[in-house]
Amino acid sequence: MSFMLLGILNSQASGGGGASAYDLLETTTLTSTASSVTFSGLGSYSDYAHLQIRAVVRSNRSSVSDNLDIQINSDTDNNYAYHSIRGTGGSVVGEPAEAQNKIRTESPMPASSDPANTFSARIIDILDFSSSSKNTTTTSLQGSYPRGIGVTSGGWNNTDAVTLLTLIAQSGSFVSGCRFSLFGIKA
Amino acid sequence: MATPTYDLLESVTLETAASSVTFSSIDGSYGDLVIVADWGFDGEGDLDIRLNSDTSNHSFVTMANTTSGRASATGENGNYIPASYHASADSGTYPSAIINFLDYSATDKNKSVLVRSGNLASGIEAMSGTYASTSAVTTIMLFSSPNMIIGSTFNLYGIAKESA
Repeated sequence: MSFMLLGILNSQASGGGGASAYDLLETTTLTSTASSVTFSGLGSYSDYAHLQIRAVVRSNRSSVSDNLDIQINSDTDNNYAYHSIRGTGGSVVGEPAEAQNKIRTESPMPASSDPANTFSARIIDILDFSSSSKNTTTTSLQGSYPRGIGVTSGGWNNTDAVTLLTLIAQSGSFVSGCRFSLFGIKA
Repeated sequence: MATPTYDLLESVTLETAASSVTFSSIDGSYGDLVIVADWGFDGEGDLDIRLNSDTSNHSFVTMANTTSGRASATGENGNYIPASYHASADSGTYPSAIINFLDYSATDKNKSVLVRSGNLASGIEAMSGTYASTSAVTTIMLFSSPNMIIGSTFNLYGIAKESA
Protein backbone atom coordinates (compact mmCIF):
# COMPACT_ATOMS: atom_id res chain seq x y z
CA MET A 1 0.00 0.00 0.00
CA SER A 2 2.78 2.42 0.82
CA PHE A 3 4.25 2.13 -2.62
CA MET A 4 0.85 2.61 -4.20
CA LEU A 5 0.16 5.72 -2.17
CA LEU A 6 3.64 7.05 -2.70
CA GLY A 7 3.03 6.66 -6.40
CA ILE A 8 -0.06 8.81 -6.07
CA LEU A 9 1.82 11.34 -4.04
CA ASN A 10 4.64 11.54 -6.52
CA SER A 11 2.17 12.03 -9.32
CA GLN A 12 0.51 14.91 -7.52
CA ALA A 13 3.74 16.50 -6.43
CA SER A 14 5.09 16.57 -9.94
CA GLY A 15 1.99 18.33 -11.21
CA GLY A 16 1.44 15.73 -13.86
CA GLY A 17 -1.96 17.17 -14.72
CA GLY A 18 -3.78 13.84 -14.63
CA ALA A 19 -7.11 13.16 -12.98
CA SER A 20 -7.19 12.66 -9.24
CA ALA A 21 -6.29 9.15 -8.16
CA TYR A 22 -7.49 9.48 -4.56
CA ASP A 23 -11.01 10.74 -3.93
CA LEU A 24 -13.18 11.18 -0.86
CA LEU A 25 -16.44 9.29 -1.54
CA GLU A 26 -18.42 9.48 1.71
CA THR A 27 -18.06 10.43 5.36
CA THR A 28 -20.20 9.33 8.28
CA THR A 29 -19.75 11.18 11.56
CA LEU A 30 -21.92 9.81 14.34
CA THR A 31 -24.20 12.20 16.21
CA SER A 32 -25.39 9.40 18.52
CA THR A 33 -24.14 5.95 19.45
CA ALA A 34 -24.33 3.20 16.86
CA SER A 35 -23.44 -0.47 17.06
CA SER A 36 -22.37 -0.50 13.42
CA VAL A 37 -21.76 1.74 10.42
CA THR A 38 -22.48 0.59 6.86
CA PHE A 39 -21.24 1.81 3.50
CA SER A 40 -23.65 0.47 0.85
CA GLY A 41 -24.08 0.87 -2.88
CA LEU A 42 -20.36 0.38 -3.42
CA GLY A 43 -21.04 -1.00 -6.89
CA SER A 44 -21.38 2.59 -8.05
CA TYR A 45 -17.67 3.08 -7.28
CA SER A 46 -16.46 0.36 -9.63
CA ASP A 47 -14.32 2.84 -11.57
CA TYR A 48 -11.98 2.75 -8.56
CA ALA A 49 -9.55 -0.11 -8.03
CA HIS A 50 -9.36 0.03 -4.25
CA LEU A 51 -11.22 1.47 -1.29
CA GLN A 52 -9.74 2.96 1.86
CA ILE A 53 -11.52 3.71 5.12
CA ARG A 54 -9.98 6.19 7.52
CA ALA A 55 -11.75 6.01 10.87
CA VAL A 56 -11.47 7.56 14.32
CA VAL A 57 -13.32 5.34 16.78
CA ARG A 58 -14.15 4.72 20.43
CA SER A 59 -16.63 2.35 22.09
CA ASN A 60 -19.08 2.90 24.95
CA ARG A 61 -18.45 -0.62 26.25
CA SER A 62 -18.17 -0.65 30.05
CA SER A 63 -14.62 -1.86 29.96
CA VAL A 64 -11.15 -0.83 28.88
CA SER A 65 -11.46 -1.77 25.22
CA ASP A 66 -13.62 -3.10 22.41
CA ASN A 67 -12.93 -4.61 19.00
CA LEU A 68 -13.80 -3.27 15.57
CA ASP A 69 -14.91 -5.99 13.14
CA ILE A 70 -15.66 -5.92 9.41
CA GLN A 71 -18.30 -7.85 7.49
CA ILE A 72 -18.71 -7.77 3.71
CA ASN A 73 -21.95 -7.92 1.71
CA SER A 74 -23.87 -8.77 4.92
CA ASP A 75 -22.21 -12.20 5.00
CA THR A 76 -22.47 -13.46 8.59
CA ASP A 77 -21.19 -16.97 7.88
CA ASN A 78 -17.72 -18.25 8.67
CA ASN A 79 -16.21 -17.13 5.37
CA TYR A 80 -13.53 -14.81 6.73
CA ALA A 81 -9.96 -15.18 7.94
CA TYR A 82 -7.49 -12.73 9.39
CA HIS A 83 -3.95 -12.60 10.66
CA SER A 84 -2.70 -9.86 12.95
CA ILE A 85 0.51 -8.73 14.53
CA ARG A 86 0.13 -6.47 17.51
CA GLY A 87 2.31 -4.51 19.90
CA THR A 88 0.90 -4.34 23.41
CA GLY A 89 3.60 -2.19 24.94
CA GLY A 90 5.17 -5.21 26.59
CA SER A 91 5.40 -7.72 23.77
CA VAL A 92 4.64 -8.38 20.11
CA VAL A 93 1.99 -11.04 19.53
CA GLY A 94 0.52 -12.66 16.43
CA GLU A 95 -3.06 -13.81 16.16
CA PRO A 96 -4.24 -15.97 13.24
CA ALA A 97 -7.91 -16.84 12.87
CA GLU A 98 -9.62 -18.90 10.17
CA ALA A 99 -13.27 -19.70 9.47
CA GLN A 100 -14.47 -16.56 11.20
CA ASN A 101 -17.69 -14.58 10.74
CA LYS A 102 -15.79 -11.28 10.54
CA ILE A 103 -12.39 -9.68 10.00
CA ARG A 104 -11.20 -8.36 13.36
CA THR A 105 -8.90 -5.33 13.16
CA GLU A 106 -6.50 -5.95 16.04
CA SER A 107 -5.64 -3.96 18.25
CA PRO A 108 -8.73 -2.89 20.17
CA MET A 109 -10.22 0.60 20.35
CA PRO A 110 -10.59 2.56 23.62
CA ALA A 111 -13.77 2.15 25.63
CA SER A 112 -15.48 3.70 28.65
CA SER A 113 -12.74 2.91 31.16
CA ASP A 114 -10.02 4.46 29.00
CA PRO A 115 -9.02 8.13 29.25
CA ALA A 116 -11.76 10.52 28.14
CA ASN A 117 -11.65 11.89 24.59
CA THR A 118 -9.14 9.24 23.50
CA PHE A 119 -9.96 7.55 20.20
CA SER A 120 -8.30 4.94 18.01
CA ALA A 121 -7.16 5.72 14.46
CA ARG A 122 -7.72 3.08 11.78
CA ILE A 123 -6.70 2.97 8.12
CA ILE A 124 -8.33 0.03 6.32
CA ASP A 125 -7.68 -0.85 2.68
CA ILE A 126 -9.98 -3.08 0.63
CA LEU A 127 -8.09 -4.12 -2.47
CA ASP A 128 -9.59 -5.01 -5.86
CA PHE A 129 -12.97 -4.72 -4.20
CA SER A 130 -14.97 -4.96 -7.42
CA SER A 131 -13.11 -7.94 -8.84
CA SER A 132 -15.26 -11.00 -9.55
CA SER A 133 -12.30 -13.35 -9.95
CA LYS A 134 -10.51 -12.92 -6.62
CA ASN A 135 -11.37 -13.47 -3.01
CA THR A 136 -11.35 -10.07 -1.32
CA THR A 137 -8.33 -9.02 0.71
CA THR A 138 -7.95 -6.25 3.26
CA THR A 139 -5.07 -4.70 5.14
CA SER A 140 -5.29 -2.36 8.07
CA LEU A 141 -3.15 -0.34 10.45
CA GLN A 142 -4.75 0.65 13.74
CA GLY A 143 -3.90 1.72 17.24
CA SER A 144 -4.20 4.03 20.20
CA TYR A 145 -2.48 4.62 23.50
CA PRO A 146 -2.67 2.61 25.75
CA ARG A 147 -4.47 -0.12 23.78
CA GLY A 148 -1.58 -0.79 21.40
CA ILE A 149 -0.66 -0.85 17.73
CA GLY A 150 -1.67 -3.51 15.22
CA VAL A 151 -1.51 -4.57 11.59
CA THR A 152 -4.10 -6.96 10.19
CA SER A 153 -4.40 -8.86 6.92
CA GLY A 154 -7.93 -10.03 6.25
CA GLY A 155 -9.63 -12.21 3.67
CA TRP A 156 -13.21 -12.88 2.58
CA ASN A 157 -13.48 -16.22 0.80
CA ASN A 158 -15.84 -15.06 -1.90
CA THR A 159 -15.24 -13.75 -5.42
CA ASP A 160 -18.32 -11.53 -5.47
CA ALA A 161 -17.74 -7.83 -5.93
CA VAL A 162 -17.91 -5.95 -2.64
CA THR A 163 -21.04 -3.82 -2.61
CA LEU A 164 -21.52 -3.31 1.12
CA LEU A 165 -19.13 -2.91 4.05
CA THR A 166 -20.22 -3.02 7.68
CA LEU A 167 -18.00 -1.87 10.53
CA ILE A 168 -19.13 -3.32 13.85
CA ALA A 169 -18.31 -2.58 17.47
CA GLN A 170 -18.01 -6.09 18.89
CA SER A 171 -19.40 -5.62 22.41
CA GLY A 172 -20.54 -2.01 22.76
CA SER A 173 -21.42 0.78 20.37
CA PHE A 174 -19.41 3.45 18.62
CA VAL A 175 -19.76 6.72 20.53
CA SER A 176 -21.00 10.02 19.15
CA GLY A 177 -18.23 11.80 17.28
CA CYS A 178 -16.75 8.68 15.70
CA ARG A 179 -15.82 9.42 12.11
CA PHE A 180 -15.67 7.02 9.15
CA SER A 181 -14.47 8.32 5.77
CA LEU A 182 -14.48 6.23 2.60
CA PHE A 183 -12.00 6.94 -0.19
CA GLY A 184 -11.58 5.53 -3.70
CA ILE A 185 -8.16 4.88 -5.20
CA LYS A 186 -7.73 4.53 -8.93
CA ALA A 187 -5.28 2.14 -10.55
CA MET B 1 -20.05 13.12 -5.15
CA ALA B 2 -16.38 12.23 -5.26
CA THR B 3 -14.04 14.89 -3.93
CA PRO B 4 -10.44 14.80 -5.18
CA THR B 5 -8.08 15.09 -2.24
CA TYR B 6 -4.61 14.18 -0.90
CA ASP B 7 -3.36 17.71 -1.45
CA LEU B 8 0.30 18.62 -1.12
CA LEU B 9 0.38 21.44 1.44
CA GLU B 10 4.08 21.94 2.00
CA SER B 11 7.34 20.38 0.96
CA VAL B 12 10.69 20.76 2.73
CA THR B 13 14.07 19.60 1.45
CA LEU B 14 16.97 20.35 3.76
CA GLU B 15 19.66 22.47 2.16
CA THR B 16 21.72 22.46 5.35
CA ALA B 17 21.87 19.94 8.18
CA ALA B 18 19.15 20.57 10.78
CA SER B 19 17.93 19.09 14.04
CA SER B 20 14.28 19.91 13.38
CA VAL B 21 11.69 20.67 10.73
CA THR B 22 8.50 22.52 11.67
CA PHE B 23 5.20 22.84 9.86
CA SER B 24 3.32 25.74 11.40
CA SER B 25 0.05 27.62 10.84
CA ILE B 26 -1.40 24.41 9.43
CA ASP B 27 -4.64 24.77 7.47
CA GLY B 28 -7.39 23.33 9.70
CA SER B 29 -9.86 22.60 6.92
CA TYR B 30 -8.80 19.01 6.23
CA GLY B 31 -9.79 15.86 8.07
CA ASP B 32 -6.40 14.18 8.23
CA LEU B 33 -2.78 15.10 7.64
CA VAL B 34 -0.06 12.84 6.30
CA ILE B 35 3.68 13.47 6.42
CA VAL B 36 5.91 11.43 4.15
CA ALA B 37 9.46 11.71 5.47
CA ASP B 38 12.67 10.42 3.94
CA TRP B 39 15.73 11.50 5.83
CA GLY B 40 19.28 10.67 6.86
CA PHE B 41 21.39 11.31 9.95
CA ASP B 42 25.01 12.25 10.46
CA GLY B 43 25.20 9.72 13.32
CA GLU B 44 22.95 7.19 15.09
CA GLY B 45 19.57 8.53 16.08
CA ASP B 46 15.78 8.60 15.94
CA LEU B 47 13.18 11.01 14.61
CA ASP B 48 10.44 12.26 16.94
CA ILE B 49 7.18 14.23 16.62
CA ARG B 50 5.98 17.08 18.84
CA LEU B 51 2.59 18.73 18.43
CA ASN B 52 1.72 22.35 19.18
CA SER B 53 5.13 22.89 20.85
CA ASP B 54 3.76 21.03 23.90
CA THR B 55 6.49 19.40 25.99
CA SER B 56 4.10 16.92 27.66
CA ASN B 57 0.87 15.01 26.88
CA HIS B 58 2.37 12.78 24.17
CA SER B 59 1.92 9.01 24.72
CA PHE B 60 2.65 6.07 22.43
CA VAL B 61 2.87 2.33 21.87
CA THR B 62 5.47 0.83 19.50
CA MET B 63 5.87 -2.45 17.63
CA ALA B 64 9.00 -3.45 15.75
CA ASN B 65 10.92 -6.23 14.13
CA THR B 66 14.58 -5.27 14.06
CA THR B 67 17.97 -6.90 13.76
CA SER B 68 17.72 -7.36 17.54
CA GLY B 69 14.34 -9.14 17.39
CA ARG B 70 10.74 -8.15 18.06
CA ALA B 71 9.99 -5.40 20.54
CA SER B 72 7.15 -3.28 21.88
CA ALA B 73 7.36 -0.34 24.25
CA THR B 74 5.29 2.52 25.62
CA GLY B 75 5.82 6.10 26.68
CA GLU B 76 3.38 8.23 28.63
CA ASN B 77 2.83 11.99 28.81
CA GLY B 78 6.22 12.80 27.36
CA ASN B 79 7.40 15.44 24.94
CA TYR B 80 7.26 13.31 21.79
CA ILE B 81 5.68 10.52 19.77
CA PRO B 82 8.38 8.57 17.92
CA ALA B 83 8.59 8.34 14.15
CA SER B 84 11.40 5.86 14.72
CA TYR B 85 12.19 4.13 17.99
CA HIS B 86 13.60 0.59 17.90
CA ALA B 87 15.02 0.76 14.38
CA SER B 88 17.47 3.57 15.03
CA ALA B 89 19.29 4.77 11.97
CA ASP B 90 23.01 5.29 11.64
CA SER B 91 24.85 7.53 9.23
CA GLY B 92 24.66 6.15 5.71
CA THR B 93 21.19 4.66 6.21
CA TYR B 94 18.08 6.41 5.00
CA PRO B 95 14.94 5.82 7.06
CA SER B 96 11.48 6.65 5.77
CA ALA B 97 8.18 7.13 7.52
CA ILE B 98 4.53 7.73 6.70
CA ILE B 99 2.93 9.62 9.59
CA ASN B 100 -0.87 9.98 9.80
CA PHE B 101 -2.68 12.54 11.97
CA LEU B 102 -6.40 11.75 12.07
CA ASP B 103 -9.01 14.36 13.01
CA TYR B 104 -6.09 16.69 13.75
CA SER B 105 -8.30 19.78 13.86
CA ALA B 106 -11.14 18.29 15.94
CA THR B 107 -11.79 20.05 19.24
CA ASP B 108 -13.72 17.16 20.81
CA LYS B 109 -11.00 14.51 20.60
CA ASN B 110 -7.49 13.86 21.77
CA LYS B 111 -5.35 13.49 18.67
CA SER B 112 -4.51 10.13 17.13
CA VAL B 113 -1.26 9.45 15.28
CA LEU B 114 -0.32 6.35 13.27
CA VAL B 115 3.22 5.80 12.00
CA ARG B 116 4.85 3.22 9.77
CA SER B 117 8.60 3.55 9.43
CA GLY B 118 11.80 1.65 8.89
CA ASN B 119 15.19 1.50 7.30
CA LEU B 120 17.05 -1.23 5.48
CA ALA B 121 19.82 -1.47 8.04
CA SER B 122 17.93 -2.05 11.25
CA GLY B 123 14.27 -2.93 10.78
CA ILE B 124 10.62 -2.01 10.40
CA GLU B 125 8.22 -0.64 12.97
CA ALA B 126 4.82 0.93 13.59
CA MET B 127 3.65 3.30 16.28
CA SER B 128 0.33 4.56 17.59
CA GLY B 129 0.38 7.82 19.45
CA THR B 130 -2.08 9.93 21.36
CA TYR B 131 -1.72 13.62 22.02
CA ALA B 132 -3.86 14.24 25.10
CA SER B 133 -5.30 17.58 24.03
CA THR B 134 -8.54 18.60 22.37
CA SER B 135 -6.89 21.67 20.85
CA ALA B 136 -6.58 21.64 17.07
CA VAL B 137 -3.09 20.76 15.88
CA THR B 138 -1.59 23.82 14.24
CA THR B 139 2.13 23.05 14.56
CA ILE B 140 4.01 19.82 13.93
CA MET B 141 7.71 19.62 14.71
CA LEU B 142 9.89 16.71 13.64
CA PHE B 143 13.14 16.70 15.59
CA SER B 144 16.19 14.56 16.05
CA SER B 145 19.57 14.16 17.58
CA PRO B 146 21.96 14.10 15.75
CA ASN B 147 21.18 16.38 12.84
CA MET B 148 19.30 15.34 9.75
CA ILE B 149 21.44 15.64 6.66
CA ILE B 150 21.21 17.75 3.52
CA GLY B 151 18.68 16.29 1.09
CA SER B 152 16.29 14.97 3.74
CA THR B 153 12.72 15.48 2.51
CA PHE B 154 9.44 16.07 4.36
CA ASN B 155 6.14 16.42 2.52
CA LEU B 156 2.90 17.42 4.25
CA TYR B 157 -0.45 16.41 2.69
CA GLY B 158 -4.04 17.19 3.58
CA ILE B 159 -6.91 14.69 3.17
CA ALA B 160 -10.48 15.97 3.09
CA LYS B 161 -13.21 14.43 5.21
CA GLU B 162 -16.12 16.50 3.92
CA SER B 163 -17.28 16.64 0.33
CA ALA B 164 -16.48 19.83 -1.54
